[in-house]
Amino acid sequence: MNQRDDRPEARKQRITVVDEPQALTAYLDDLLQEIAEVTPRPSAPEAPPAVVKTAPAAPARALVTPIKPVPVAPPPPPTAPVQDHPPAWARKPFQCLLFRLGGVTLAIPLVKLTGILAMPRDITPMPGHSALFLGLTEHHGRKVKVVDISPHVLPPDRLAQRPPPGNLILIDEGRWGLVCDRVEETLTLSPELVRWRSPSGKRPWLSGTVIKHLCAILDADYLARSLEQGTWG
Amino acid sequence: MAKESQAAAATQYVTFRLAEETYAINVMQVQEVLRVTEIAPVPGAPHYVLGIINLRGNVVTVIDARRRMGLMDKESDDASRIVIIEVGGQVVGIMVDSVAEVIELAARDVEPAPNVGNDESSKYIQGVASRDGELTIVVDLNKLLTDDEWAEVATL
Repeated sequence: MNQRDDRPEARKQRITVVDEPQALTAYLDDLLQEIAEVTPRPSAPEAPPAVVKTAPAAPARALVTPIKPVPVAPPPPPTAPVQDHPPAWARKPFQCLLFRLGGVTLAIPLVKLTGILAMPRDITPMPGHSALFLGLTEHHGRKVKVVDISPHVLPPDRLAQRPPPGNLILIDEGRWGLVCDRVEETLTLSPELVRWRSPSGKRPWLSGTVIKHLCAILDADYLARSLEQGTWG
Repeated sequence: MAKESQAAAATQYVTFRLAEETYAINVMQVQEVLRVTEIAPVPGAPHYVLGIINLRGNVVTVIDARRRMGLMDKESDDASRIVIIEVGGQVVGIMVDSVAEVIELAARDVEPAPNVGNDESSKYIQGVASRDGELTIVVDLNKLLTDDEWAEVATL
């Protein structure tokens, strides 16, 4: 059995890790670190939060840095400039629906959202499929494929703490339903607030992250496409 | 016109239940439905093979539909049935939770099976049909086993 280190510094560190908002920040921080790796910015070498240029980002920056300081990125090699890639729907301020999955806040742009359902009681499981495919449910005469993407999206320690699913987020004209804990609110985001994922990033399901709102924006098109092709996860 | 009539032509299916879900198989491939009888295990058989039964002097291999479909095992009970089917000239039995009824489905009622990271073992799902607010999974018995598996079962 491991000895607990009860020195004040160690205790403080443990508290930092398990604290809910800070744990969420750590998760996003992980995502951002990856993005930082694939989209280094010569003008902002000190840390990913620097991309949040507006004043309201300051509190979020304060939350992020104490938990997991991002190492200073070395100057990028003099290769072709790396650019962020906001999708077409994000060239101007856009609305997102925030929802919770395993206690993590995710967002999906409203232009990619088909609808929201209460978690259906009747889901017909389809044997022999991937474990993320929970089955089919009917909505307005259409068969919705219900998937739980959490094993691929959440940090492992979040999976065991999940509340029962409360809602289904419909995407791709209602062909797919993403299980979530609950939906929260919609908000309007400026493209500048989002740290967009590079196409070469390791998490293709991620459109970007928004430190200000501690959320990750899902790439609904990628989700639908990869689920359809059976390549997701 | 011919296409429309083809799409509207109904096929009869026998439905059975597995783990609270309804499955349908083409009635033309069903020979008979038996109550559960003594099944003699076959050493070294694939895990989805329950064993063999003596059907009027013929040895018939019985496949556990639950195991084949990756569902949890369940003890057989009074409702359990062995559905004797014929696939490619081969006669086998499949153990199901219960047999429900014979239904008619038009081809247009059966939507293709979704493809969500499924592997070869789920190719037997031909599609799904909506009936009375519930979904029925239509099984293509010809693909219940792979060619190699059919060959293996034939030699038991």
